[in-house]
Parts: sequence; C-alpha cells; structure tokens
Amino acid sequence: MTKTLEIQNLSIGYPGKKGKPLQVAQNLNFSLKKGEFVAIVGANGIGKSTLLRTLAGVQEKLSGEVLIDGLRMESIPAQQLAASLSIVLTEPLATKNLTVSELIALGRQPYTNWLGSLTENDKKAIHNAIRTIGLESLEHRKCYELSDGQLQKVLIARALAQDTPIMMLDEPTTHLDLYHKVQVLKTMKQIAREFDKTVIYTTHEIDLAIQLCDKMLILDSSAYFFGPPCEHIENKNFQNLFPSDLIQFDPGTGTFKIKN
Amino acid sequence: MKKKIPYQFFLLAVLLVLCFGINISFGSVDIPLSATIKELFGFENTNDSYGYIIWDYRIPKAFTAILVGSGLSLSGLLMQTLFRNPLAGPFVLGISSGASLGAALLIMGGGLFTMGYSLVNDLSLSIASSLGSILVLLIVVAIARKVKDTMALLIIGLMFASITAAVVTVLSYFARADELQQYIFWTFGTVGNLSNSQVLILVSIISVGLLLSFGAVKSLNALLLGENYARSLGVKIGRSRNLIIVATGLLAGSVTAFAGPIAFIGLAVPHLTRQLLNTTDHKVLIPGVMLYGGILLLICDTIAQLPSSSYVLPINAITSIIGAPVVIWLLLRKRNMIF
Repeated sequence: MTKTLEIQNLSIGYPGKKGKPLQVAQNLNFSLKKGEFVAIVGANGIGKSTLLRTLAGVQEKLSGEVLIDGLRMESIPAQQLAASLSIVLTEPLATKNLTVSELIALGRQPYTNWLGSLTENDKKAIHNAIRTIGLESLEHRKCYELSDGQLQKVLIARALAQDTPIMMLDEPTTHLDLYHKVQVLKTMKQIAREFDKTVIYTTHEIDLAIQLCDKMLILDSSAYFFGPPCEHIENKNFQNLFPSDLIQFDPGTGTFKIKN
Repeated sequence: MKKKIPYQFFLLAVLLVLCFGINISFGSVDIPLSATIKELFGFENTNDSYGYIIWDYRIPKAFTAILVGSGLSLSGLLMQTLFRNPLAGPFVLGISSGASLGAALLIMGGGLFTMGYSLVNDLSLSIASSLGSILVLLIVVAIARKVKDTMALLIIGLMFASITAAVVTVLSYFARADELQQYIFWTFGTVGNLSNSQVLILVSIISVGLLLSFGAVKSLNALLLGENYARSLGVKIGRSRNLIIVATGLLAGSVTAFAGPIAFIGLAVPHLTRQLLNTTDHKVLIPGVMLYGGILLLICDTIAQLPSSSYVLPINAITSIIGAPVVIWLLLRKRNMIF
C-alpha cells in the first residue's frame, strides 16, 4: 500500500510574539496509507486539534513537512488540494441559513464550473453522501432547525460529497450519543475501506478508537506514539496518558476504569 | 426548489417594469397617463413640453433610480457575505463616508483656498466624492492585506466613518451658511440631476461591479461556511476577498458619488431578497437583489416626488423610513444573527 500522507519532522503550535513561537508538539514523524482509519487521541490541550488543523492546512505549521502523495502540501494548487483533502472542523458555521442539501452541495465546489452549477455527476455524489450518512429525512431542512448532532452529521456528509482521498475530522462525534457515535465512526471506517480513503480524526473516546481504528496517534506532553491499538496496549502507552489519581487504563478490556 | 425561482424572477421583473411606468407617470407636473403612454410608444407627439419632461428628465431619473438601487443592494450583499455579518452594508467599510468627506472638502473647504470662488458643480462634486471613496477603499484594501480577521476590518471601517464624520463636523463649523446648505442637500441624496453621460458612466461602473461579483459567485457561496471551510474547498481567500472589496467599492463609491449617500438600501435589500427567494446561492441572489433594489428605489423615488405637488422630499429620508424598520426587525427576530 502507498503512503498518502507523510509527516516529516513536523512541529506544530502558534507563532508567538517577538519570534518566539509557542510550540505545542515537535518532531512528529509518521505516515498514513490508503484505506486506513486513524484516530488522534490525548488529553485536553495537548494539541490534537492543532495537529489536525495543521495537517489540513487550516493552520500554519512551525516547521517540517506535510507530504500528500509525495508532494509538499504548500506546492499543491488550491483547487487540486481541495480535490484531495476534505475537512470537518469544530468551529461554528458562518451562517445556518443554508438548507442541508445546499450545504452538502457546497462540497462539490472543487469540481463545478465557475458559477458552481451542479452536473448529474455532482448530484449523484450529493445524493450518495446523504444516503451514506442517513440524512434523507433532513434533506430540505434549514441548518438552524437541526440539533448539534444532526448538524455534525451534515458536515460529515459535506466532506464526503467532496469525495477526496483524504478526510480529516476534528472531533466528529462530540455532539452525538453513544449509538450515533458508533454509527458515524463505523460509517467512516466503512468509507475508508470501501473507497480506499485515508480517514483521520481527533477524539476523546479512546475506548471506541481502540475498537475501531487501524492505527492511533497518542499525543503526550513529552512524547508521541503511533501504531495499531493493540501495539499501544502491549507497550502500555495508555498508562501515562492521564494523571493516575482518578482513572486507570485496563489493558484487558481496553477501557479506562475509575479508581476507588 | 430550482423550479420556483423563475416564477419569482418573473414577478420581480414585472414589478420592476410596473414601478418604472408608475415612476415616470408621476412628478411635479401632472401629465395624463394617456399622454405618457402615447409619448412612450411614439404614437403621436401630443405636447412638446410633455415629451421633454418625460424623455429628458423622468426617464433618466428612473434609470438612475434603478442603477442606484441595484448597485447599493449588490454592494450590501457582497459585504454581508464577506464579513458574514447581517448588519454589514456599504456604509460599514467607510466607503460612503469617504465619498461624504470628498464632497464636504469640496463644498465647505474649497472656499478657503480659492478666495470665495466656488468650484462646486455637478461634475466636480462627483469627482470629489469618487476620489474620497476610492481613497478610503485603497486604505481599506491595504489594511485588508494585513488584517486577516474580518471583524477587525469591520471595526476599522467604522472608525473611518467616525473620523470622516468628525472632519465634516469641523468643516461645517467653519463653513458659510450657503456652503453648509449645499452640503446638506447633497447628503439628502438625489437621483434626479444626472445627465445622460453621467448615467452612462454609472451604467459602465456598475456593470464592471456586476461582472466582478459574478466572477466571485463560488467564493461567495463557500464563504457562507467560514474562511477555513472556504479555503478547504479551493477558494483563494486573499484574492477573492480583494476581488469582492473592489467590486463593493466600485458599486457603492460610484453610486454615492453621483446620487449622494443613500442610506439603508444596501443593508435592507439583501435581507428582503433572501426572504423572498428563500435561497443562499449567490448565483440567484445577485440578480435577485439587483431587481429588488431597483424596484425599492423606484418606489422610494415615486413617494419622494409627492405626486401632483411641486415638493420633492429628500430620498434619503424615504429610504430610511423603509430601511430602519427592517434593521429593527432583524434585531428583534429570534435568529437575529442569521443571514
């Protein structure tokens, strides 16, 4: 299998004042292959979202390289990049006055003409995205009528309609109940398998990620670990993820248990 | 949904023609409807002065009203999407205040340097206000390159408005009574004093603004999701933003230069149009707001004429009476931040 996304010596963070950048994580090296379903996990404020936003090009990196199919991300023209990478962010939409189908249709922008007219092919992709995520009943509703969870599914459908080999989702399951979390994650995994896409997402549901993901990236304050979930469990990478006073990782079940 | 749109456009187009007809049928001089129709379709020349009034005064005025209404409305739509702020309008960027400053400097400041000779005429006034708006536009574009945050840009626009308002106040304190009056009349706004060549200039500038807007349709639609999503859809944010700002400046600047600062149309019409067409697609909204804006300003102008009387009210007062309640309605509405 070929490497779709390659991260070399990547440092992420924010440009601070007087040329002293605020580094969140440094020297990250890992690569993702086609068809892989990958989660980024870690404690609050450790830089999961910063990493995902940097990989997605939403945020500037401090140093290092992000390669997509061997090409440096900055060297890829905007249009071409839009056809190879789609995102779901946590930030609120600028307007919620769009209908569900209008919003999903915006995902087709990289492929439409200068006026954004939808071809039969585009309509098919939109329809497929709606069906895959199961939004048929909401299709004509306005976004302000939706619950947070429903809106999150709509945003995932929009990214799906963009039909890119790489999908990046920042906490895509935040507003969903357990059933729908699993439903969305299983759907994403199925998409990765079926269409040979690389799907990477950040999450706090470590136990679900252990059960579903091909690989996990664990961000810790001083180090990072990348590999299949079972390898992480064997190497006890989850043990030091959180302060040990309240919860403890149970390798047998792959979940965190509350200490008595 | 696509099938609904032609019928609403048809409705708007019919309304526009109807309002155009009503607008040229009324004015300070009573011209019988039959005479107006005969004159328009060239059946027979009933009365030379009727023909003069209709062809040389009322028709250019009606065309100007349409141009002013559609130009301001389009610039308002562009700004609301660019700033993703339902209360943005051509005035927020400071473009209209730039035009006001130009006009104020010419009318009230000009006398200081020319020993009382007045340089003020229609042409110099429109040049001065155009220069004022272009100047502010260039400053705003320069700042837009540095400031990435659109909200910051919005506040800078408001500061420009404050600065120009302050300068105008100082100028009016020292101005002679007749100069002050002349400036005040300019701020009332008018669509009536444009020559054919001025109308032609206005048509060409607004056409350029319209073309630029259509060129930015996809970026405008993507910007509805926010800048990060727009970028992920392949929109070149910096370039699109400059393109939209230039289009806005051309539209609002040229209109204000020729017709004075006409309030609220740019802010209110995009909301009314979204309500009517029930879409957020700029491909549909751009022609929509232009038609709607043209209709609304024709109506405002017809009211301002106070049909069958010799009085003409300031059109700015009429647009405010219609526009201000729309803003209040926007703020009172539950989903007040939705646009």
